[in-house]
Amino acid sequence: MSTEIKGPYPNPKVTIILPNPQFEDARASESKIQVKRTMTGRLITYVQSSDRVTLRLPFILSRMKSLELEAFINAYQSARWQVTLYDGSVWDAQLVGEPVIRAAVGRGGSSSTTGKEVVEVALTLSAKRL
Amino acid sequence: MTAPTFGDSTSVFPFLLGEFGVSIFEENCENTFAFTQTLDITSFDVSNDFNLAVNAEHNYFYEDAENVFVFTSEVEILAFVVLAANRIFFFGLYGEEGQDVQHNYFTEDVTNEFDFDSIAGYNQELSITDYLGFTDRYFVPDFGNSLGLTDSVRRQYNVDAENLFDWNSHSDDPAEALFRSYNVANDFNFTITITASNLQDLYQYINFEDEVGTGSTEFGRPNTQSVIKQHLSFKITGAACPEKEYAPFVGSSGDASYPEVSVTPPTLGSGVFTLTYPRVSPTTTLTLKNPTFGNTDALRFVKIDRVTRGGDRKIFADLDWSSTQTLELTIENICETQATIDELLTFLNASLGKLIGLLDWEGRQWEGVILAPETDVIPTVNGYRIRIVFEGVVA
Repeated sequence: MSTEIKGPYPNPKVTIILPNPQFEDARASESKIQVKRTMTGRLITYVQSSDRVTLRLPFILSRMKSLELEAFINAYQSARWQVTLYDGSVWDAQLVGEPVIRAAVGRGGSSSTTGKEVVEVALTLSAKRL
Repeated sequence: MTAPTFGDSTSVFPFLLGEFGVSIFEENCENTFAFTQTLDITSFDVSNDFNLAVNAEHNYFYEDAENVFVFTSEVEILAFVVLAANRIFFFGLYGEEGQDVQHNYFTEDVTNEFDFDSIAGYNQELSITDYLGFTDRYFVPDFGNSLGLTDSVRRQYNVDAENLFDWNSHSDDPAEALFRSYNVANDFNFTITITASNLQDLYQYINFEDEVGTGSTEFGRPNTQSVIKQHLSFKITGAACPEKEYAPFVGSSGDASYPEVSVTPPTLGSGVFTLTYPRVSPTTTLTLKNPTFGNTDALRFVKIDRVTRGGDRKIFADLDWSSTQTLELTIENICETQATIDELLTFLNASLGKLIGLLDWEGRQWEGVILAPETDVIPTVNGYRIRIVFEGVVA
């Protein structure tokens, strides 16, 4: 299973297929809590609950795939995406992590026309499960 | 129109109060007067005269001087023609130092409700005069007048309704200018609400006059006047306005403003890292080694990112808004000769803030500017190392 990103959601025009993210991809709740303690020691918590999660997806891509991702991001960086992850979960996601940094980390690729580098890129998405 | 005469039962109740003696040790003095006049109406000339005065004169502090008046007039009209119904109220109070004076003219709202077959006129007049004299300049009184007048006319046809307000706030102390400061504020709220098939005339006249004499330029403050006048006219059509759908966020359903992504991949080749200046018709060319791995390419966009109270994330970005692409490149083992280093620094100085050309190691031509020209040129065992930050686009 690969990572499938469609944009814009809900009427996608383009689908991009990425490999599975690297290990240590993360899902973090976007709920927030603020703790106050009164002068008498009473504990008060303020909760801002959210059903959204932050997805951090590190990818290692070929140079050409990174350029494909660049074109996708340039077109739909403000749109909602439909993201299907390796575990089959489907998300309504938006790109929030900026800048999107791609780092050439080593050799890769098989020919000069497809690039000779592998690129590391991490996407940070604010997502709600569909 | 001549009023029919059925007799004459005019009643006049003259009262003169105020000669009563009050001990200086008495704290409260209260008088209650109740007047009830029942008239068997045989005439349209009905008049009640009331003259009530409370005059307290002593030198000690007393808390309340209060006049409570309850006027209730009930006119039961059969099927007669009433020429006019008049009410004239006049209240005057003179207060001195240390008093908490209060006028309660009506313990409850006075409502006149008459049903007439016809009426020539209906008039209410109310005149209130308060005069307070203070000899202590540091005494700050709360001095307020509140008046609410409401005319409600139920009638099927033409109505002429007029409210006249004459409100004066006056303060002076010409002898010793004891009033060093005085705050005067008159707030008027006029509301006309009319639902009618035909509205002929609607007038509101507002006249504000302020005359301020501070007596001293030291405490002179500006006085301001503001008049806000609004007329609201509406037409009831019986049909609600259609619901407006407003979706300013790019990314909404069916947004056609998104471009199609090209399916043609860029052609990558190979090249030698080369900087040229100027971008057009370059005169300076600087060729360096290709950067080492670890070079980064950062995409940045201008967009508005908001999270609503409900937890929805709204991102808006116009496609015309700028986006930037920044390359951070580290080049090592370059140019062992001092002349090349000088050439590099000369290039950086010459191209400060100017558009340059960059041919990357994949053969793609960029144009942009060099950020952070203060980059260090560091000698290492195998040559010099330099870090270049370049912001630009593929030409």
